[in-house]
Amino acid sequence: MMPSVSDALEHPRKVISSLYQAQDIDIFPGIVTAHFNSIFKSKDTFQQIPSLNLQRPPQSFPDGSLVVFNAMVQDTSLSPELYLAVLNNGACGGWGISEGAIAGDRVRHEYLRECNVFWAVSIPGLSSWCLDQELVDSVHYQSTQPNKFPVPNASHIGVQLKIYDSQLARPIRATDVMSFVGILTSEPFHINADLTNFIHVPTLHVLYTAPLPSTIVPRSFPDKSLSIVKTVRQELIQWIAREALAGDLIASEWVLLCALARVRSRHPPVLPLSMTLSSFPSPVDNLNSTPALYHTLSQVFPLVSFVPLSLETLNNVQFSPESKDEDLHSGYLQHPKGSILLLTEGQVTEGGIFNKGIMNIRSTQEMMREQTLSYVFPFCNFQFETDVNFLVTTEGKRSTFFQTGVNVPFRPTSSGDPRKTLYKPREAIVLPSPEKLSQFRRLVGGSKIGNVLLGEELGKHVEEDFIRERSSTNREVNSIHIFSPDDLVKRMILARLVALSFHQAEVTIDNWERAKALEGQIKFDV
Amino acid sequence: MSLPVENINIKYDDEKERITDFLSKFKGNQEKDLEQDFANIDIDGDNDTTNGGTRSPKYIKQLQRIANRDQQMLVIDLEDVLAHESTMSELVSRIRNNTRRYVTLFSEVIDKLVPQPTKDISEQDEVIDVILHQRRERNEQIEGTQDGFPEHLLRRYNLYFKPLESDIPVAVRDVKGSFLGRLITVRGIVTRVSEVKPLLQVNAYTCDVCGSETFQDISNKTFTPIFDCQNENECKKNGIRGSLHMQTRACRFSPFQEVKIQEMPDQVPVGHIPRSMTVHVNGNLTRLMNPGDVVHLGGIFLPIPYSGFQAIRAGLLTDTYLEAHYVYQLKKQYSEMEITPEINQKIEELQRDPTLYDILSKSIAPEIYGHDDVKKALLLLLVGGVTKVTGDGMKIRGDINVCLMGDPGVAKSQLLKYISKIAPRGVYTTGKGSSGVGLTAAVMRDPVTDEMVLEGGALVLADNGICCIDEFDKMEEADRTAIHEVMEQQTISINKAGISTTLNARTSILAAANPLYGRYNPKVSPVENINLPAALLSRFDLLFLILDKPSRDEDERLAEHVTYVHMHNKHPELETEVVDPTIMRHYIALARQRRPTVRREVSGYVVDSYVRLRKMSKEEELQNKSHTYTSARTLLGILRLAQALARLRWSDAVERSDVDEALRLMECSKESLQDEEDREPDVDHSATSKLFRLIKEMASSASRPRPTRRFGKGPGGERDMDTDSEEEDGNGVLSLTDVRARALSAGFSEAQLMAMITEYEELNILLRTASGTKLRFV
Repeated sequence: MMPSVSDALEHPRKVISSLYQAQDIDIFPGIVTAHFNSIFKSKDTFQQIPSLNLQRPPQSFPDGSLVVFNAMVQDTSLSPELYLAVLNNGACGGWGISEGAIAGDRVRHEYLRECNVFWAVSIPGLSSWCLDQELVDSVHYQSTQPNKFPVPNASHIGVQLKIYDSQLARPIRATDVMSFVGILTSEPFHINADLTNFIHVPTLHVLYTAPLPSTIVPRSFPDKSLSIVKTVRQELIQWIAREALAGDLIASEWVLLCALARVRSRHPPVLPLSMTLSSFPSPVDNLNSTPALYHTLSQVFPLVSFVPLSLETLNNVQFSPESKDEDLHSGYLQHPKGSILLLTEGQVTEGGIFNKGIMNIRSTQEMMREQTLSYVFPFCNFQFETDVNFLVTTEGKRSTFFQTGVNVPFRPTSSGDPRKTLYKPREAIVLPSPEKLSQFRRLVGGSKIGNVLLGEELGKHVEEDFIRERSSTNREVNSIHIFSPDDLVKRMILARLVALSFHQAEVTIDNWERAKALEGQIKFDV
Repeated sequence: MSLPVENINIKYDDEKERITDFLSKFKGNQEKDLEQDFANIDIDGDNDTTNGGTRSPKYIKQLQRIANRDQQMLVIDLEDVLAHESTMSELVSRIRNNTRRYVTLFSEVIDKLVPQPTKDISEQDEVIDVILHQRRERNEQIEGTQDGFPEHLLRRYNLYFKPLESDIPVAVRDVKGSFLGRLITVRGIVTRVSEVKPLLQVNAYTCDVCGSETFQDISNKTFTPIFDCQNENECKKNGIRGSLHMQTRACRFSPFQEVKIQEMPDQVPVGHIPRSMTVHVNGNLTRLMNPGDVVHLGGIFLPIPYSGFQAIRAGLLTDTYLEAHYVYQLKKQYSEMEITPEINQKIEELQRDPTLYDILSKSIAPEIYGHDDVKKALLLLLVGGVTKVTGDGMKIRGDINVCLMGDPGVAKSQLLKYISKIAPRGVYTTGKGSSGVGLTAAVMRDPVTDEMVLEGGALVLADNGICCIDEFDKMEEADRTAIHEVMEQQTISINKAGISTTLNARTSILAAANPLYGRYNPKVSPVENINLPAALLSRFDLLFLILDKPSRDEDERLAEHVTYVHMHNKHPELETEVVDPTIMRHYIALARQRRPTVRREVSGYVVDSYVRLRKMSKEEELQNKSHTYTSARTLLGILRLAQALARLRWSDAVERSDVDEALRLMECSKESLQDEEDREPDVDHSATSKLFRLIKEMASSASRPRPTRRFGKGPGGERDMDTDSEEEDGNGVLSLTDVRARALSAGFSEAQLMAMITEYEELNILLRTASGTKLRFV
């Protein structure tokens, strides 16, 4: 049978029904997955599948449409559902196929199979330029389960996924990001199915899934298409400094390097550096204004989220996901791997922090330090691995709430009140040429996924350097600060980030010296 | 459709015969029966005791009790069925695979088997009995042929199946669709329990016209009430309709509860979210579970079919639930761990290992190099001493408190975190800033710097666990005062807002602190560097000073390690094999169950040592060299450490060697405080001389006659038992195997031991005899 794209697009259920020729019902879901996967293998055909997003919310599709949903898996704890794999007329069941089922008929238990049920939401913090999505500010759309989305009160789509192929469902974890291709319908929400008042939620009967890279748009490292990495990198730093940091090139380079980091290893921990941008002025009049840094970063990085820390947010918003009545509510920190979280302390005023606030601060600090997030369940907490970069801006000399890996003092170079430019709206940001912007994105995307080697030669150099530094500081007895092993680890991570930002395959001694220079630039004058 | 049904019917008749046979003939295991009888004595006085000796049929006896309305719950133990049938394949497996059907079958059989009550039960009559009685009388009068009552209505018992003991409890995520209708056992933690509600089982109606009763069996959650009288003789004949009224008092209800269970942390694969399951509990099993209980639930896995409008949806079945048949409560504490045979075996292996103390202490934070004595102290902190409560209610603390003081970046925090993770109830917190220990906190604007600062709040600690407090020196004065009380009295007193109360805080404190100016300043005295009040310091059993002294060798090794990690993204291979944290946790939990005592001769030894320490401390004080103070707390500290060492061996008595090791640790902790220049030349601290002292001591202690404590060697004439080779030890001869065991348990290696022996042999102090199996002092 020749797979027909138009048939699959218009009548996906018919395609499934015709595919079923009394095969073993245990392997049939796998056949369906393979079939649809092969139909939409090529990029052209894949792009014909309409995408489910804020512009085209579930209501805009007729029942039974084939759609693709780029989503983050929010909850995998929903109990599997049983379905009749073979209907009474011998046709196959599942995927919402209901023709041939007769109500009240005796259910043949031997044909009952289970399908996995998950909850997926729009990818939080996804920048508008990824996946060809236009930004829609005016449209405010929320799913029926707003507490299952990390960012409170934000527009998003939430969909119940039903996956029939167990091979497909097994590797899926919470906060995974992928494209789900399936048949969209509306079905009762699984959790309160035994209640009398059913809530109908958009439900996607998944046919197959396609992976999404952590950079959303595939990138390569080292990227050969970038003409001169060094210039692009310098231009990027200058652009960020000009648009978002009132001309502070040092802070700009630090922001870039810290945003490139990811978890390299857990045992032993080689984790991203979290960063505080201190002495960063609070907004003048409107405490709720968004720093231009957020708009700037989201122009280059695919996943950036902005968390304004005010006492109200800290005390009232759930930061770590929590299971309430067997329903896993999301938390502010439930973000996909590879995200950047921008925390601002500019809104903090005097007042009390209560139990919830303390727990929120603790889980954030834990996530910064160990890249794990505990999900709260009754009687026990479960740790989940995360890979999220933290940027904290604060007015003080150090963050009020958190201890971060590095503390970079903000030193504006442009004249006048920097607060005007630091909090300018998104429209006021001067974008570079599209060509340049694309180069920036390729640069950071490549660096984010790249791997650098640490050669023996540099290893030797580092060892000697360390010993030299230790013995020199030891001689000056008066100096309070001795270069500690922790400092060595930090410098090592930094040197690797420097190498990555240059798209180099190996860390060089130059990078090591550059890291040292960068560290020197942020030392406080005691 | 009809043919197969009939086939099944025939089979079920056979099954019924089997069931009858089982119920009427099965005689319980005598011992179990006796137990049962003893248990019953409390319930029904002297009724059954006469049967105690004879083996009466287990279930028939229960049926009699049911008839007498003394018992409601009838549990059919599948083990009994198995014993009766002596095969798994027949009745047992059919019950397990099609449990619901067999509940009906058993009930039908039991209805026939239930005997007449042997005592007057009229006082327990319910409305239904009155109706029954009336109906019976009327039937006799008019010789009516009206149908009897639904069997269900008359049942005075709840039938449950108890799963086989060999049934392995599964996790919620492993319960698959193929288990539908089967009797399974699920393990989980109860997260939610609904109220107990009445569940209608039989609905009763009376007819306005003829007065007869109509009964309706209810098996689903929803039902359609009957409106027309079913009386064949009157209303049906006359075509009277809509004359029925529900009679709540005659209905039969069963208590019903909905329970949610969730998977336990150990059942959830890494990176997955725990799943939960709905459990329906009926009859006598209600009110048995509370949120937080860990339970094994035996029950039937059943689907909830869609009803009404939902049924149109493709025969999809939404949800599944477990109909509970058997509830087994595990230990009350959810934090308690389950021991698998595998773990058990590993623990036993570990227990036999002579180098246990060494291995376990090295397994604490294995990625942190060195700090052996600190790790040993931490191991003892995990094990803890024995808490005693004296007759008049005074409590002597058994928990060991340890303080680590040192420069930033010497892995103090990692040690603390490791301990807080491995301890059953470890809490990690920092003294400063984000006061995680407090319940409330406030953000204030610092009047001087005008910055926002987070102020810590009240101190609340975990009871029965280990509290790891980082940055102890930066703690608020008020919190530190509270710590004083916690560390000795193990309570927290709260006097706030008109509330005055004392809470338990039976916790070990593991504190980490930085020296006064952030770094240890060698120019000023240790006391000034430590910066903690003496009253607080004396409450720590052990205090270690860990300094980050740049030294070429150490730095080189460290830099090598860091570069290795960054080159390969993994740790370099460790030299020693480490014990898995889970095994360690189990081992420590078992060790903590021991309550070792201090025997008279050992306590004498402790007293001697204490007096010696006091004397030394006095001398030091005179020379103005003392940094610490030996007090009665020190004595208690030694005892606690020695008890912890005995516990570690799973021994019930503290031995001299335990006291020695406790003293050694105390000594180490003291030494770490001393300035480098103050330290005596390190002659005595090589492994060789330590080992030599160890075996010398062994020899001298062995030379003392055991029953009485006499000093000096007894005269040779008294020793008339020298035929026994073991007794020869008195002459300074030691068995090499004993020596080896002792040396290994004190943390030395085989190679070190052999090196010591050869070295001292060369000095002509030691001699190996009996072809190298014995050691003799020359």
